[in-house]
Amino acid sequence: MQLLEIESLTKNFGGVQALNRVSFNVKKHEILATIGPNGAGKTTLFNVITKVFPATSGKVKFKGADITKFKSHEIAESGIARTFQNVRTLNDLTALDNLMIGCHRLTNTGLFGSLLSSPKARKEEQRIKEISLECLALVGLEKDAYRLAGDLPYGTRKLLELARALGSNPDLLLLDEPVAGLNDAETEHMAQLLRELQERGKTCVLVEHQMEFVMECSNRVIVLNYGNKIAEGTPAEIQNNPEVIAAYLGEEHSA
Amino acid sequence: MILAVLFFVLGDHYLRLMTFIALFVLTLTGHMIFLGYTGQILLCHATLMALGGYSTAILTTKYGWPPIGGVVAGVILTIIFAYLIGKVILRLRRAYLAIATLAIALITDAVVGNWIEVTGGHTGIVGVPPFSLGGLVFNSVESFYILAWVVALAGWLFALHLGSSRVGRAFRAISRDEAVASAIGIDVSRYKVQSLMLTGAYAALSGALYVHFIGLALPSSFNIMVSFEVLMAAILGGLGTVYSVFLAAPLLKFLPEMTAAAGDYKLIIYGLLFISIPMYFAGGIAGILTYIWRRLPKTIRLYFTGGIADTLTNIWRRLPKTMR
Repeated sequence: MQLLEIESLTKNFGGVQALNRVSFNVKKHEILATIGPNGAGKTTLFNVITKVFPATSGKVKFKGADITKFKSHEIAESGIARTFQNVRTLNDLTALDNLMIGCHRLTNTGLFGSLLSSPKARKEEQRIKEISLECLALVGLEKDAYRLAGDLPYGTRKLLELARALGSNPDLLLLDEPVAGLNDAETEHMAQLLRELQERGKTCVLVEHQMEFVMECSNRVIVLNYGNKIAEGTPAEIQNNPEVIAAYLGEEHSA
Repeated sequence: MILAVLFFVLGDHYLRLMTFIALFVLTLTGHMIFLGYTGQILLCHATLMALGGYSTAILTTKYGWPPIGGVVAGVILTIIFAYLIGKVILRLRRAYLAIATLAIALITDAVVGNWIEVTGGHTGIVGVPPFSLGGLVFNSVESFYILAWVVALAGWLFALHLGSSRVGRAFRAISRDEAVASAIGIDVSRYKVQSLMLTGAYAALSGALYVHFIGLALPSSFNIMVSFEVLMAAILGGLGTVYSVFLAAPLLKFLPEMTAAAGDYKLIIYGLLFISIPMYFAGGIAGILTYIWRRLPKTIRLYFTGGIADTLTNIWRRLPKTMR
C-alpha cells in the first residue's frame, strides 16, 4: 500500500527550480533514501512536504488523502514527523521536556485544563511522560532524561531529535541527514535503530550523503539532481546506474 | 504566611504599597506568560490594563453597573481586543513585533488623553466606587490588601500550572524554535494568540482592580511608561521562571522609596541596575539566586529541594529513630 504519494511536485525560488516535477511513492514499512549532490533539492523536498514553504505546483497525498493544502502543524497532526539537518533540539530544556513537547499530538488538554491543572490534564501528563521515557529508552538515552539537551554531545542530540520525532507516534518519519557528523559507532547505532523502527512498522524517508549508510539501510533509493529525479531503484541498481555516476562524478568519468 | 504577618505588622502606608505590589504581581505574572513562556515581546502591556481599568470605571460611574460586572466586562473586552490585535500583529516577529506593539501603546496614550467624552481626558474618571462582591465592600486598605493578594496568588498559581502543562510546553517550544514547534504539530499562530489573550486577561484584571482601589482612572496609571516598567520588571526578575515576579514586583515598587534619598540621581541607580543585571545575569535576579543556590553545599540543598513539604520530610527522616 502507498503511504505517501508525491505527484509532479515543483518548487521554484524565483528563477531557481529547486524541484522540477518530482514524482515518487513511499510504501508502508519501507525505508526510502533520497540522495543527490549538494543543491539537488533533497532538503527542499522535505521542506515542501512538511510545509515549511508551499509547493509551486504538484500534489502530496498521505494515506490517500490530499495534504497539499495543509498547514505545517496539520501535516504533523496527520502523522508525519521530521528531524532537521542541523540538529534542532530545544537546548535549554531537559531531554524529557523535549520529548514531552514532541508528544503534543497525542494530547488535547486546552488552555483552561492547563491553567487549572485538571485531573484529566494530570493524567495526560503522566501518560506522555511514560511514552517519553519509553522513546528515550528506545534510542538509549533513558539515563539522560533530566539533563539539558544543550549539555548533550552532538551525536546524542541527534538521537534525542529522533526520539522527539518518535514521541508523536508518527506513521511516517522524515529524517534529514540522520548520520551527518556522526562517527562510525554512532552511525552503526543509527542504522540499527532504523531497522528496529522498520520492524515496529514505521516508514522512513531519509536524506543522506553517507553512501555506505544509505546502501546498508534503505530498501529503495531515489536520486535527485538539479531538482530532477534522475533515478529510482534498489541500492544495487542505483550504484550501477550510469546517470547517477555521471551526476556524482561528472560527465567525463561516465563517458 | 509572610503576607499574613505583614498584614498585622505594616502601617497604612506600607499596606497600600503592598497592595500595589499585589496588583503588580498579577500584571507581571500575565506578562511572564507572553514574554517568559511564549517569548514574544510586548510594549503595550498598559494598553491591556487601561482597557480593563477604563471599562470598569466607565461602566460603574456612568451606567451604574456593580463593580464585579464592570471588572468582568473589562476583562472580557480586553480578551476580545487581544484576540483581534493578536490575529494581526502576531504575524510579526522580534523587532517588528516590538514596533507594532509600541505603536499600539502610543495610540492608547493619544486616545486616553484626548477622547474626553469617554475617558475624561487628562483629568480621568473620578468617583469610581470601591470594589464589592455581593454584600462585601472592599473600601478599606486592609480589605483590599487581602483581595488583591488572593487574586494575585491565585493568578500566579494558574500560571505556574500552565508552565508545566501541555499548553505551557507548546508556548515554550514556540519561544525556542517556531519551525520545530510546527513540525511537532503545534499550531504556532493559534497558541501565540491564546497566550496574548491570557496576558490580556491578567492585565485587565489588574488594571480594573487598581482603578477600584484608588477610585480613579487616570491616563498616567496606564501610559507607555507603565508598559516599559512591566517589561523591565520582567527582565530584571528573570524570564526563565514565574517565581521571579515575587522578586521583581517588590523591587520595582520599593525602588523609588529606597532611592528617595538620592534625589534626582536615583535615575542613575535605575539605569545601572537595568543595564548591569541583564548584562551579567541573563536570568535576572532569579538567575542570580539559582547561581548562588547551585554553589551551596549539597547537604544544605538536600534539605530544601522540592519545597516546604519535602524539606519537612527530609528533616523528619534525619531525626533519631526514638524521636520519630
